[in-house]
Amino acid sequence: MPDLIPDSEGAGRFLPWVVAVMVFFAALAGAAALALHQATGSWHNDLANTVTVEIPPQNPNADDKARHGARSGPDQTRPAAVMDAVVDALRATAGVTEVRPLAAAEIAKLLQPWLGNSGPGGLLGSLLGNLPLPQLIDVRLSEAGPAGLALLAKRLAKIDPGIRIDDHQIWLGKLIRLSQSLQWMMAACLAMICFATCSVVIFGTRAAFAAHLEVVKLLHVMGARDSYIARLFQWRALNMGLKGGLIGLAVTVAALFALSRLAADLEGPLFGDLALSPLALLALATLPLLAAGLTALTARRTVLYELSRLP
Amino acid sequence: MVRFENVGVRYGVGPEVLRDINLHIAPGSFHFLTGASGAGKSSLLKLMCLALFPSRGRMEVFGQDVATTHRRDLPALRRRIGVVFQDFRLLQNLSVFDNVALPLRLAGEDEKRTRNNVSELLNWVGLGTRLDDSPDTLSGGEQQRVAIARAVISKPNLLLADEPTGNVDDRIAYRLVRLFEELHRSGTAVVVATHNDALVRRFSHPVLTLTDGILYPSIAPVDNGGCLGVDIGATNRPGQIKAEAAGGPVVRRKLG
Repeated sequence: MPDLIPDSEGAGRFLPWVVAVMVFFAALAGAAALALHQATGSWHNDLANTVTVEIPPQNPNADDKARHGARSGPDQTRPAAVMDAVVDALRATAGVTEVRPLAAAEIAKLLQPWLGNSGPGGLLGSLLGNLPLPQLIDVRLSEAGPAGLALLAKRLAKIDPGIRIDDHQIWLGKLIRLSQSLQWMMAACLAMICFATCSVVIFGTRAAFAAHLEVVKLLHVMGARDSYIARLFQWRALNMGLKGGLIGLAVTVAALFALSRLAADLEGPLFGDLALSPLALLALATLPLLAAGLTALTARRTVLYELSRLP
Repeated sequence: MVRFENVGVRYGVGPEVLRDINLHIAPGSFHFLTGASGAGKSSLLKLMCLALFPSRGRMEVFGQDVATTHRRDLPALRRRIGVVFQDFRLLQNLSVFDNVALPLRLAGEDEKRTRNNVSELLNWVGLGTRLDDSPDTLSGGEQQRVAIARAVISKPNLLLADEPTGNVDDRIAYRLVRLFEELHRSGTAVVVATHNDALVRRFSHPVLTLTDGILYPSIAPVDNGGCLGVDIGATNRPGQIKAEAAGGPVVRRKLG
């Protein structure tokens, strides 16, 4: 049997395009939220059981004093001796599973984003010999409770009071807070997109209802149940929502592909974690279905409300 | 079947378009409803087919007080009422067949039985060869027959026709009423709204006359078996009752 409510009428013709735009924005917001969530977890896992031990650079004044014979002491031999002592102390500590001193080249690489190339012609290359750089040791712990870290810090302070242990918590905490704030913002964006979509569907359905009011009244008088009439509009909305959702998803896929290509050109440990997992991509792929479902449900509720005003 | 007690209807905050309507349509009865344009005929028919609820008074349809009937039970009542609209209200995007089949499909009838019944009825009204045509390809008379077929396909207990003779000549109008009489003989109560007094006089059925929102039931001649369901004892205004019967004298009497 042909559709009792033909959708060739102008009232709802724009709906698929509106849904397409909404799905596009929702998918972008969702992708951002999922990527941040994933990255936050990844950063947390990576840094949760690691600390960096920082051995401060030798005091330059001490070098001068040593050169002028004013004083000789442990300062002259401090870097290598302190490094060895610290590594030994770390390896002897219960709960430490891995100790890896960073080579000078690795430390220089950490500075590259700020000071440029470390090669012969680069700024970093020319500065490297003169910069008072600390020595760093990556330490992996089996369990990094505050008590364990405090004990370790006390033990290392006996070797050199200037030694610092960075458990990354301050940096990680700020990053996670930022990430969580962004996720909440994305969730708020999604909620607003849902609200806007529902509003548009309500207005569109009301317009369609008004356009087909004579048919609706006829069906009503003939004994059609409200749910039957609502279903006519609901299927129509579902159809349009699905069409719009698929268009929106297609545009989103193209946009995400372009963004991933751009992100691939950026170097940095953080951006690698922003790639979406297959599960996240699957979640995004369900957006057209969710949009169609939301559209259909909203249309149904709207029509039932309008019908409740009929006798 | 349909009983009104002191029913009044107003649209919004406007004046009452129907006032103190007292009426009883008995099962198997046949009534004409007459009155000038704007007298309230359409509003009264809307009340009877549950497209409108009274602003006051009590209205019973098939023994159920509509004021207390749950909304979900109203469609079942409406399906027992067939309506022929003055403007036919055929759905142009459906074929003739689908238009007539609509009430059966709304009632969830078996599709095979629907197909047989609709084909049979359309043959009976002379449109057996136009099943798949669109209503807008039919003449006015043919569209009217489709509208009547749609109204009676589900064998309603009550058939309401709003000015079915408004757009046809006297000969066709007479044949239409004869058609309604045939349905009436099969047990359906029929109410035909018309302002064609000449046509009404050609039949011996009681007449309900609306004047300025007030209903004046008629008294049929004694040899036609009385009032055929019009409850004259509960007339609307203690005053005149106008009775007309086909070919018979107009009887006026005062109550009280």
